Amino acid sequence: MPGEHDEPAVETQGLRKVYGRKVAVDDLSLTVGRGEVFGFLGPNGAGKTTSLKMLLGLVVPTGGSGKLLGRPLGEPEARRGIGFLPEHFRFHEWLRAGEFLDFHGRLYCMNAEYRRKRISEVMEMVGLSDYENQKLSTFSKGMLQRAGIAQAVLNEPPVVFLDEPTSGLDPLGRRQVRDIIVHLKQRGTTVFLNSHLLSEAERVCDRVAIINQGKVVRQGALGDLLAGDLEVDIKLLKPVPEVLEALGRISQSIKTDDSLVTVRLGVEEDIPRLAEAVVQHGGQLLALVPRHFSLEDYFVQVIEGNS
Amino acid sequence: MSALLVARFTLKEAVRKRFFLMAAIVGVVFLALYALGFHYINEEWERSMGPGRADMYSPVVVLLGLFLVHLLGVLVAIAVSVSSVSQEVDEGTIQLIATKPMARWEIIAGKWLGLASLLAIYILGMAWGILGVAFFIFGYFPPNPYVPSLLMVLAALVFLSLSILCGTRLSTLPSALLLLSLFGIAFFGGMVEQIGALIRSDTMVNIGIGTSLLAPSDALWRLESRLLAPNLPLNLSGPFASVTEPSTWMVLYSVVYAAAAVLIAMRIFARRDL
Repeated sequence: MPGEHDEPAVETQGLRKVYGRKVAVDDLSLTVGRGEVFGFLGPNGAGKTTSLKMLLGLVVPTGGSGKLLGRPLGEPEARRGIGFLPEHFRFHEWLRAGEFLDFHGRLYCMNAEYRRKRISEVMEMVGLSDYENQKLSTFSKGMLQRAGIAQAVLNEPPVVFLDEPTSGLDPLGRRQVRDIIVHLKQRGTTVFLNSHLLSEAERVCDRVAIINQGKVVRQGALGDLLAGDLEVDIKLLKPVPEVLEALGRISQSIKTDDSLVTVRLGVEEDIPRLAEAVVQHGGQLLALVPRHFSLEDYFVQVIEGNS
Repeated sequence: MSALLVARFTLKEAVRKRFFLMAAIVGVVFLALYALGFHYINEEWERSMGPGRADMYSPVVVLLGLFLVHLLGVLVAIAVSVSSVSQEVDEGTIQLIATKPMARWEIIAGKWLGLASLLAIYILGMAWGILGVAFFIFGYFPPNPYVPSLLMVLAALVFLSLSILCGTRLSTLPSALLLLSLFGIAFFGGMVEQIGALIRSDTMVNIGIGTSLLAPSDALWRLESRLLAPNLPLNLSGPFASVTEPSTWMVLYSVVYAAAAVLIAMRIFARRDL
């Protein structure tokens, strides 16, 4: 019989949410392993936040089932091991930062000594040590976001849910959030990252799922999803029709923009063949730059294909 | 345990948002005006009727003061609670609390407990302030002020429970409109009942009983007034006293009514999407 720590952090089967006649989330089946950074990606309105809220017990699913740390979704005890930073969060801004964390620590049933220790640690982690006695109403948006993250990791949870944690942050703030995610991963914490900022997700996620119009359209390890998709920019002195024809035969697709030709290849081994084809057909090669598909490219391709 | 944390948090919020301070300032002003008014009324009556004769009017003036406390109690109950759930849901602040390892009903129970303590302190403070003014300045003390004071708190708790129930389904403005309308209907129904009793109209009395079942605040006030001034002559009682004495079962009904409203609120909130 598997122990509590062998259970996946998150597991859902056919989770569904319908509002009236609108299907917000349809057949959501996910497994998020312990210790991984999981990116839950999708365009605005795709159903990301509704899915996340179902996992957290904030929204009651219309159908399907799921488990959080081995316990059924919605069970209060399942939430003992989680931390959560909501999207567009607003706090009780009449509280001081330290009081805010203390209240949430009490709700996690953390004892006084542990609370004090952790409040000090997390305030330092998010760079707010000097602001513990300052009212949240005086905080900037970035400071509030960091206080929210401090709250999300206060109880050292095995799973942290971050809903758009970098939205509204400046580049330094984003970097800090990214560092915190990496730090959590190093400590073995599972991070469930809801985001539409793909460059951020690409830097930190081990696995991703892409959701569109309420359905998961792709999921897998980031490396697997992006492997094999390769684009090569070829700069020619003058695009010759024979050269373009030859390049087209080697590649999966070809785009031309004046003297710049962009081709997509299935395998890296085809790159030397591109150079040969240009030379053999009388073309003059100025540059040949291979680049792997970014998550953003992949995301756009998937969403456009799905639409 | 978590419900007590939420209750404490609710009280702390009331203090930080200066509810207590404002209530204390308004309370002191109210009591000062009441004492001043009472003084001049008494002086005028003694001048026109002679010393000692005016004493018979003291219960009427105390009754008027306590009616205002009863009225304020219900209105404050609506004011402090009407947005306590709906606003937190609308603003999303509830999400951080509802994702903690606690059942949703504990949030409702905690808010109710916190606000109920607040109201009890406010109403008892105001009511005993009125009684204090009457006693220390004019030497009048009603025969049985303890139960009526608690009934005032009960009337406010009925509306607190209804308000929290409304907040689990409706946003702030519709909730406030509904609650104030209910209070108005109960007050008007009570007047109809009193007039019906005077002119012996069963239909009018039944209308009053019906509205009391809908919202028992006015019936509770009639009970309070009968306990505060049991032997007040009918011609002195004015519109705020009671011709008929409501059944003491109305107290039990009010307790069950408030408890049912809170339980339904907990049930609705437990299934609500946040």
